[in-house]
Amino acid sequence: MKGKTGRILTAVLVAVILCCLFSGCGAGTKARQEVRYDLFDTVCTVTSYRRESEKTFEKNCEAVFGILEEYHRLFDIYHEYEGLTNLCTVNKLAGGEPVSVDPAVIDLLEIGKEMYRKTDGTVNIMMGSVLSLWHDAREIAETDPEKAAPPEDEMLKQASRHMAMTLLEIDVEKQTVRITDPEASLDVGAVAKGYAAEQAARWLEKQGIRGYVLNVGGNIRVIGTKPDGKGWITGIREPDLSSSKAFALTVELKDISCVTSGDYERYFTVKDTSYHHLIDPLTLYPARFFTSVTVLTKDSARADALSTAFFCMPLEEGRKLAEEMSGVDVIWITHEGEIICTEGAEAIIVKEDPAG
Amino acid sequence: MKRKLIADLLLIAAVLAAAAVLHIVWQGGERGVCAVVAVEGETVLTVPLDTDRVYTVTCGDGHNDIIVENWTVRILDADCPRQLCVKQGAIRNAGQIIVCLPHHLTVTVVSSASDVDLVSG
Repeated sequence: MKGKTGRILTAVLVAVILCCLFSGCGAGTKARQEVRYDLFDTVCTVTSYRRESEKTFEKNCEAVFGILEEYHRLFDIYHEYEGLTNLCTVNKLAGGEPVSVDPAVIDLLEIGKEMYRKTDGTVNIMMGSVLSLWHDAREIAETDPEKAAPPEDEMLKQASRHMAMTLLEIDVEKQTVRITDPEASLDVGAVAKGYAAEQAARWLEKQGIRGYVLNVGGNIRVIGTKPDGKGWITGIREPDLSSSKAFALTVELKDISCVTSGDYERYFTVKDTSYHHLIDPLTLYPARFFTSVTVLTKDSARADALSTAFFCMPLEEGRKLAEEMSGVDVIWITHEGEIICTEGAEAIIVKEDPAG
Repeated sequence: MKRKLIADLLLIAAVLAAAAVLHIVWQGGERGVCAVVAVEGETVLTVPLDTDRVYTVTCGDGHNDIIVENWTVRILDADCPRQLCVKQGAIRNAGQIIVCLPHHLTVTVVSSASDVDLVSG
């Protein structure tokens, strides 16, 4: 009897060991992922494709989420945090004295200004007055669809008188910021998530870590390549949601940021007209040039801002801008479903469509 | 002696079988990236699992509301008589399938291995 029990135990033990061995074979190709839902009002994921211990992965995740959390607090325009001067504070003190802020805030605002110059005002972080009207309209539409309505035209026009970039004063030496018009406010939605993703990516790069993917609310930043040297096969979502295809096309990403802006993302509908969240600063209404625009460039902050910019300008203007900026590639998808790519984007398209 | 050998051989076979079963159970299939919705065997919709959203699929005179949340997919609501598809709950791994027989509808999770690593947009 004793022998039999021993044999059964051995059998189970061997089975377990064999099982672990089998599983081990597949472990190299599997990715570990950690998700958080409380940053930037969106979903943030860290994915590792490296062969590394659970402990190493957890340590890296903790560091990355720590960085994201820090920027989330600093760039939050809706909430203040105890003992922290953030952009919500800066907005509240608009029209008052200069406010001392964290160097990262200065850095973010400087990038915002640079993007404003380069895109001829299409990206405008001083558009808070206009964007908050759209934000409120979207909130009402979401909680009570019966009451859904775009902001009143007169109110939009009124608000647009307080969105000049000149109303923002940055003193780099003193590390202070001041909004000179009490009616004006910052909205860094077009650049904050990308900036945070870029800083987290740079931290990983500094540690010599490759084979990671960060996704901060749709801002994809891939670090290096997969361990086998190949890039990440990435599906660009098909904007036509009634289509049976999940992806309009697929691209291979190596060491780059990929940000897609689409009219299907956050929108509300009033009498068959849909209003999405990408507001053209010229018309003060949602831009209608494309259904989706994807920007590919290394720096995630710029990719983030530029995806909004290219979405809000006509194709010819966008083509010119893409040519002027080095290392920036774009994929435009029109309402007719036509896909237009810059040369660099064309080069990384995966030919066969795996989603069928 | 011969009997013992046969017993050992049987044991080895049992061990291998147990290992294979445990392997399948523990591995559980790779986490899916997309769900394919088919009616009458025809694909009507491919939905990415990275974005939480509700999709409504009409099939003949019925409908199924399909919800994607937290990388899983399930039938949120349907007007089929016995609601078996709703009761089945959420699936997440490649190969898993939800069937709504009255509507001839299936939802199948597909893995990243054959298609894509990431989804943008």
